[in-house]
Amino acid sequence: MIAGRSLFPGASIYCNVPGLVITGCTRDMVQDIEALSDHGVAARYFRRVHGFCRSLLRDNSEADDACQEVFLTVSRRREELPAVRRFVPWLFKIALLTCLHLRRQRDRVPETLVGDTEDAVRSHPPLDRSEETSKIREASERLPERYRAVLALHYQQGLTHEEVAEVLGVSRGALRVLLHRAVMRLREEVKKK
Amino acid sequence: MSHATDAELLDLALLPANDADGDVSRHVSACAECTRRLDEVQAEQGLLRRAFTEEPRTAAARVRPIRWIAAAWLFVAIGVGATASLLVTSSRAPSTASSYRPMRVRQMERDLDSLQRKISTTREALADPTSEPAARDYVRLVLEGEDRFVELLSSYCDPSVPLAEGQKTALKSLLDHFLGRVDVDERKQLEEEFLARLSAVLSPDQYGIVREYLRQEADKIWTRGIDELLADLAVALDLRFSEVEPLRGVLTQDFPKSALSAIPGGDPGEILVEEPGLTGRIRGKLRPTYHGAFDAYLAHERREKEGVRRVMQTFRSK
Repeated sequence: MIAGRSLFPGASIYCNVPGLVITGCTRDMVQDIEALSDHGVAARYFRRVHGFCRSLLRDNSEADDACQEVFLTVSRRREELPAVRRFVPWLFKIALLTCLHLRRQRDRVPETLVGDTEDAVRSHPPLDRSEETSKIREASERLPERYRAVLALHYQQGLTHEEVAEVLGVSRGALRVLLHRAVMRLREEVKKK
Repeated sequence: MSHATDAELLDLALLPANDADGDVSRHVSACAECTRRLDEVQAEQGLLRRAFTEEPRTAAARVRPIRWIAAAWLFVAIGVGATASLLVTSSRAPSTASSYRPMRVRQMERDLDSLQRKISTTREALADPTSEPAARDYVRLVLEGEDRFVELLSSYCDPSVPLAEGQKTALKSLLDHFLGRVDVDERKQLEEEFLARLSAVLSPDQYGIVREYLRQEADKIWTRGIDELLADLAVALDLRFSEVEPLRGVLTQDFPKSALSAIPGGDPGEILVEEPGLTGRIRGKLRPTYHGAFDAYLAHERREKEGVRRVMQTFRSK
């Protein structure tokens, strides 16, 4: 790493995120990377990634840590970037794995998305549009991690089904089921409150 | 076909049009009741987007702005230390990765953060000139912070680009000198002197990295500082959320970022007190009913700043 080129030098470097699958390359993606080197744009991505990490880790300071490590990982893997097919899913996959890694360190649980996602999800009517958004956020924090991840990626980050599936490493069909169940469970949690 | 179930309607709302179940889709189009229910589900989608994209409101707990002294060494400690770690990790020496001790460094950073909060709390008591225990505690905590900074820096640099003993001593001396004057001297002059002294302590490569880091960190401190100052004002004046946001606009537009350019630290609360123009604009954005509380807030900030100045001058003169 070259002095003055690091994106967020205030972080410690130690998080190795394994298992990235990188194929293909597009001009748009290269432009994204170039933009990422610019501090202002990096800050924009930082905000998005931070929101996602906070949704998963449920802790602001841990999200800070995760975020810094995500961007440092991106910076360290800069030479791999020309081979990345789509930048945003790639970035959020790093964010997801980083959060899992941190959570494993914190809770000593296996490094995987956990949660009773195979449960029978009952059908519930939609949430009333007058429902307070803060209650929905609180309810989402009680959901299994896998559901939180899919909801955050889809609703918070605005990723398409295909992109969310890429981040989570599941098929589009499985993603649809997952998203459906996540919304149903969220409705249930909000109603419980 | 009977009415669509909640699950089927959710699928319709979630799936792209060409992936939707044809039977259900046709029924919903023809059925007024199901169309109404589908509208509700689609409205729910908007609600969920809002819920997940809105920023959570600031916690109600009182948040103190970053303080000059506390932020100064914390800033240098984490910033310079981490920058030095970049030196370590950018080294091609094979021993670097295996000898790096992240958990220890992480713990040291947490300790510094904790110490910063203690200093911030102790500093509040310095507004009372008769509080001798607070003054002693304050000086002790600042000195502890300096020691921990040097320790952290050593840990980052070791073993690939270790600080020489002379560098450690010089750095400690520099911190001691600089932090003693940060609440006393004119900021711009202090900035120039700080950079000159820093360049003398570090090698040219190290200095280049640190200088770049300071520039970047100033941006972050500026943004974070505004957030914390707003939180502080919101609690001190008991502002509603809608009343805080116009103040953010004033601060974002007029807050003197140049004051935070190179010197470690830089407390927006301090700068607010020092910049009458900015203070006036903030005051102008507040409803008249808040003016009394705002003036009281500024008066407390000035007493606190004076208290720090007095304590540090007394200590340095001994």
